[in-house]
Amino acid sequence: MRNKFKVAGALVAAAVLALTGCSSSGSGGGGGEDDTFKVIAFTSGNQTPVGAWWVKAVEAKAKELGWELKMVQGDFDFQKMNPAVESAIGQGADVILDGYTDNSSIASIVTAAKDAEIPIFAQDAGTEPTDSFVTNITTNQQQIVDKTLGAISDKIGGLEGKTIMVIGHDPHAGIRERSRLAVEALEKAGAKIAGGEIQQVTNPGVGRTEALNFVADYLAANPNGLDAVWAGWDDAALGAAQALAEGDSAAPVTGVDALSETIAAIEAGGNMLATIEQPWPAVLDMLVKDVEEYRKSGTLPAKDFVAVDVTLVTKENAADITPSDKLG
Amino acid sequence: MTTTADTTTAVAPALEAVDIVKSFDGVHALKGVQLSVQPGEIHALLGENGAGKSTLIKIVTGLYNPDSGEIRRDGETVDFSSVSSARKSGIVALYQELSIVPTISVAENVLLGENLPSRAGIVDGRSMRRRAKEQLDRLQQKIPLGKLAGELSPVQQTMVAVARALATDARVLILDEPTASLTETEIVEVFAVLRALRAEGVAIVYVSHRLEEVFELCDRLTIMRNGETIVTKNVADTNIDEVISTMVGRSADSLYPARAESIGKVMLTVEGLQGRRVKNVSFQAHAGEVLGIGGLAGSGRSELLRILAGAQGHKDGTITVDGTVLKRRSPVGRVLDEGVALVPEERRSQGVLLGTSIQENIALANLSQVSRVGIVSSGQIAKIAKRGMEQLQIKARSAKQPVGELSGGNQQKVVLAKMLARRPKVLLMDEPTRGIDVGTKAEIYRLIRELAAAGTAVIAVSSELPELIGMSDRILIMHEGSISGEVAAEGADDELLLSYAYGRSE
Amino acid sequence: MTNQKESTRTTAVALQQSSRRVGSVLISGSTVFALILLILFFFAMRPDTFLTFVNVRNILYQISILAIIAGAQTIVMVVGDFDLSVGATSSLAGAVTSVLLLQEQGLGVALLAGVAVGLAVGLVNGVLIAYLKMSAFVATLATMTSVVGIAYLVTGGTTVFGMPAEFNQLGQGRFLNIPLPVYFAIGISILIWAGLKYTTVGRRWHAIGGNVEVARLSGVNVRWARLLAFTLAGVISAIGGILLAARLGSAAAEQGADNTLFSVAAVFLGMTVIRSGASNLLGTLVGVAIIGVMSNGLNILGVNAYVQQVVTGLIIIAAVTLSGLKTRER
Repeated sequence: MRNKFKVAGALVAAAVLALTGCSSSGSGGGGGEDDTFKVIAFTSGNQTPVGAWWVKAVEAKAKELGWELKMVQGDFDFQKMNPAVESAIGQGADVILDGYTDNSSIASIVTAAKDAEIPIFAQDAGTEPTDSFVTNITTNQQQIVDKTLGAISDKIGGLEGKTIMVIGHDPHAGIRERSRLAVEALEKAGAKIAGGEIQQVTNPGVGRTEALNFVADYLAANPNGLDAVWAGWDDAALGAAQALAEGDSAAPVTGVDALSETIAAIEAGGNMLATIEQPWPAVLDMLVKDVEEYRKSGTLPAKDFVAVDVTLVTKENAADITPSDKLG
Repeated sequence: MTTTADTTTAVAPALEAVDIVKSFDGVHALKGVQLSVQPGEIHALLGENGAGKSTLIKIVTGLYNPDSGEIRRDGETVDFSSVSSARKSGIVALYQELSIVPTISVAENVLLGENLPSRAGIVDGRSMRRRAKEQLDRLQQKIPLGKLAGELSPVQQTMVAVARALATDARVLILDEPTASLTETEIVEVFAVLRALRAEGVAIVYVSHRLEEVFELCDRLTIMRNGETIVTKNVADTNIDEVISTMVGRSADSLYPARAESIGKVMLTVEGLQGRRVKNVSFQAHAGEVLGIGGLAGSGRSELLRILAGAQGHKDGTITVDGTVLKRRSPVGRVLDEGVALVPEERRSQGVLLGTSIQENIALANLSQVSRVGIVSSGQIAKIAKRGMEQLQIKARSAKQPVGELSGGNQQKVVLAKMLARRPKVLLMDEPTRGIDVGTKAEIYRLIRELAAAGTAVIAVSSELPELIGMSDRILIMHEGSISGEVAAEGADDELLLSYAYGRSE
Repeated sequence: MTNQKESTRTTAVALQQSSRRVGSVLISGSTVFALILLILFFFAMRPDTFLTFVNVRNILYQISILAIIAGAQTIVMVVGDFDLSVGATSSLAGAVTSVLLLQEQGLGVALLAGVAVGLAVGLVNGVLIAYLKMSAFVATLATMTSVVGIAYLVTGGTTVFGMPAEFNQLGQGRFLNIPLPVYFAIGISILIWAGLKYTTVGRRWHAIGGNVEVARLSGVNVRWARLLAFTLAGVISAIGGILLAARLGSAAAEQGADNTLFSVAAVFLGMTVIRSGASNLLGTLVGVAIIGVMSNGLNILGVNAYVQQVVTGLIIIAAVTLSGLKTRER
C-alpha cells in the first residue's frame, strides 16, 4: 500500500517536472504543407520584459500574417535552445527570426541555417554587421552613449575632471559595446572613471543588488567621491540610484531600457536622471516588413545592419513614453 | 614483570616487543610490555579492555612511537616512523571495521593503496586481477574478482582483507576480533585459512574475547592486564577458567549470577507473528524472567526483536504488552511508550551517536522526561545521566564525554541506560555483550538479573551458547523463522540446543 | 637504548603532541580566526573607511537577508540534508507579497500570503524527502526549478515595483540609525539558535543528523521531524525574501538566487567552529560575516568583480576542506 503511494507520488512529481520543462520550449507548429510560410523564431531573453514582449508580439504578427510559427524560448540556456532551434531547422522553414540573441552564442544555429539555406532576420542580435544574418536591426549604441552622457553633462556642469562610475555586463553584447563607448567618450572628455575600469555585474538576475552593494561600498570608501553613474541597463541603474539615495549623494544616474520603474523614478526626481527608449515595436515592424518582402518576391534586405535612432527619456518627456515592460 | 614458561624455540621471533613503555598525557598505557611471536605460530593476545592491547598493536604497526623499549623483526631492532615503514617490514593489522571499500571491486580492494600495478599512471587491470587471484587462491577462496566488495558476505569480506594484507607480503598478521560478525561455519573457514598461513610460516597475533576460539586455534597466549604483560603460556598448558581469572585478576566462576527463583505474571504475549523471515511465532515472556533466544544466523532472531520493538513492520499476528494490544505498525516511539525497549545489535551504528555526549545520548529516548513544553532542561538531562551512569557503573571522564571515546562495554552501558530510563516492562537485547571484555560482561549479566528481579521481562538474543545458557531462565531456539524448540536453561544440553537450531527436533 | 636516544625520543614525542594540539586549536578556531584576519586585513588596507560606523552598518545591512536564509539552511543541514530551493522560495515569496500589495491587498494579508508560499514550498520539499524518500539534492533542485518558473509567472517576467511605503519601510526603515532588516535578522537568528539548542525538536533534529537509525530506534519520529525542518526552512526563507523585496523596493523572479549557494557555504564555514563539526547557527553567522566582510572589503579596495568571484569560490573551497578535516580528526 505504502509502495503504491510512493510510486504514484513519484509519477506525479515527474509529470510536474516534465511539464515545467516542456512549457518553456514554447508552442509550435508541426510539419505542414509546402505553401504555408514557415517561420522559426527564437530568443534567449524571454525572461526579460522586452524578450517576453517580443515573443508575444511575434506570435501576434504570425497570426495576423498567416505564418506557421515555431517559437523557441531559450531562458538564457543555449545548451537547451540551440538544439531545439536546430531540430526545427531540420524540419524545414522559410525564414528564421532571431530576437535579442547575440550572434556569438548561436554559431551552431547559424551553420545549420546556412546549410539549409534559410535566411536569418535578426533584431538586436549584435553590435556589428555579420554574414550570419541577412539583416540585423538594432539601436545605435553610439547615440545611446552620446545622449545619456549628454544628459549627465548637462546635469553636473560638464564631464571634465568629474568622477563617473560606469556599470556594465560584458557577456551582453549590446551592453558591452555601449559601456566601452561610454568609457571612451568619458576619457576623451577628461573625466575620471571611478575604480579605473567598468564595474562588472556578474549575474544579471541579481544585478540590482550587486550594483546597490558596490555603489554603497564605493561611497563608503570615497565619500563625495562620485559625481555620476552611467549604467548599461535600467536594473543596475535602479540599484545604483537606491545606493546613492541611501548614501545621501546627489549624483545622477542614467540607464537604458525605459522600464516603467525607471520612468517612475525619473518622474519622481531623485537620483534617477534619464534612460533610453529603444523603439522595439518600430524595429519589429521594420523586420517584419523585410520578412514579408522576402516572402513575396524573394528579395533579401538591402542592408545587413541597421542602427535605428533612440530617444532620451528625461523628466520632460517621461510621461509620453511607453515603458518597455508595458509594450504588450 | 613477566613469567614466561619455556615456550620459545631457537629461531628468532618474527616479532618481538621488549620493555615497551608508553604514556598519554601522563597516563601510563603500557608499563613495560613484552610480546614474542614466532614465525609459523598463532599467538593469542588477551586482556580486558583497557589492558593495553590496542596500544601495543598501534605501536607495533607504526601508528605510535613508544616512549622507550624496542621492537624487533626477525631478531633485528627496527624503528617504525610510520605505518608504511611497519608495513614494509611485513607487519599488517586487520581490525573489526574491515576498511573494505564497498563500492569498488574485489580485485581493487586486494591491491588497494600502494599496491595498484600501473603503467605510466594507468592501472594495469590484468596484472591487478592476476595478483589478486594469486592471493585469494592462497587462501583457497573462490571469490569473483569483479564483484563489488559491498556485495560480499562478511566472511568473504574478511578474506579479502586478509588477501590484501598478504598482497603486501605480510609476514606478521595481527587480527583484531576477526570473527565478530561471522557464523559458525564461516569461522571454521577462517580458521582453516589461518592454519594454512601458519603452515607457510606467517606469524599471526590473534586478539579476541572469544576464549573458546582461542583455545581451539592458538598455539600460545599472552595475557595483559593494566598495561603489563602478566604471563605467556602454551595454550595446551592452561584452560579457560585460569585465563579468565588471570585477565580479571579474580576468580571467574561468578560470571553468571544465579537464576530466578520464581516467575511473575505474563508481560508479553506474541501470537502468530508473521514477518519477512519470521513465520508464525507465538510465545510469552514473564516478569522476572530472562528469556534467551538462540538460533543460527539468519533464523529470524533479530527480526523478531525488531518487530517487537516497532523498528520493523509485520504482516500478521498480535503483540500484547501487559494486557494492552499494540496497534499494528506502531512506530518505535509509540512502542516505547507502551513499555517495550530495544538494545539493538550494532551499538555503534544503531545504538549510540558516537560524536555526542553520554548525557545527550541517554536523553535522546527520554526527551519528554527531560523537558517541559518542548524546552529541554539541562539540569534534568544531567540528573538522568547521573542516575544512569551510577546505576550501570559507566566508566567515563564525565557525562559530557563523547560516547565514541568510550570502550565497547561502556558504550553498551550507555545504550542500556538510555532504554532503562524509560522503565520498560519488556527489555529486548540483541547480542548484549558482543565485543565486550569479560569484566563488563559479568556486570551486564548481573544487571540483567537485577532488572528481571525488579519485574522486567528480559528477552535476549545471543549467538554464544554458553552465554545463552548462563544468563537465561528459559531458552527459545529459532530455525528458519519459527520456534523450533524450547528448553529450561537449567541443565540445558549444548547439543540439544544446536540440533534445534539446525531444525532437528528430538 | 642509550639515554641520549631516549631523551631525543621523548622531546620529539612531546613536540609532536603539542603541535597536534596547536593544530587542532587552529582547525577548530579556524573560521573565527579567518574572520578576524580578514577584518584586520581590510582595516589595515583602509583604516579610514573599513571600521567606520557607516561601513559596518553597510556590511550588516548587506548580510542581513543572507543571515536569515542561511539560518533556514542551518536547520536543514543539522538534520543532515540540505535545501537548494531556499533562494528561489525567498524570491517567490517576495514576488507574491509584492504583487498582492500592488493589487491593493492589505499589508497583513500580503505578508501572510508570502509566508504561506514559503510554508507550501517547504511542505512539498518535506513530503518529497521525508515521506517519498527522495534525496534532498534531487527534490530541492526540482522544487527550485518549478518555484523559479512560478516566480516568473507571478512577476510576469518583469520586475515588480511600486509597493506602498509602509511595506518598503520594513526593508529600508531604520531604528536607532540601524536598518530594520538587521533587527529582523538578529531576532530570527536568536529564535533559530534557541530552537536548535533548547527544544526537544532541536534535539531530535541533531540526532537525525548524527545517525538516522540511532534516532529512529530511540523513538524519534524521523519523518515528521524532517518534514518540520523543511517546512520551517521554507517559512524562514520566505521571510527573508519578503524583506529583500522591501529592501530593494522591487521583486524579481530570481533576485534571491545568490543566497542559495552562499547559505550552504556559510553553514559549511560555520561547521568548523564547534567541536563536533556539526552545523550550528553561531558558526553560520560567522560564515555569513566572512562572506559579507569579504564582499564589502573587496569592493572598497576596488577589486574587479570577476576576481571577487574567484576569491569567494576559493574561500568556499577552503571552508569545505577545513570542515572535512575537522570531521576526519574525530
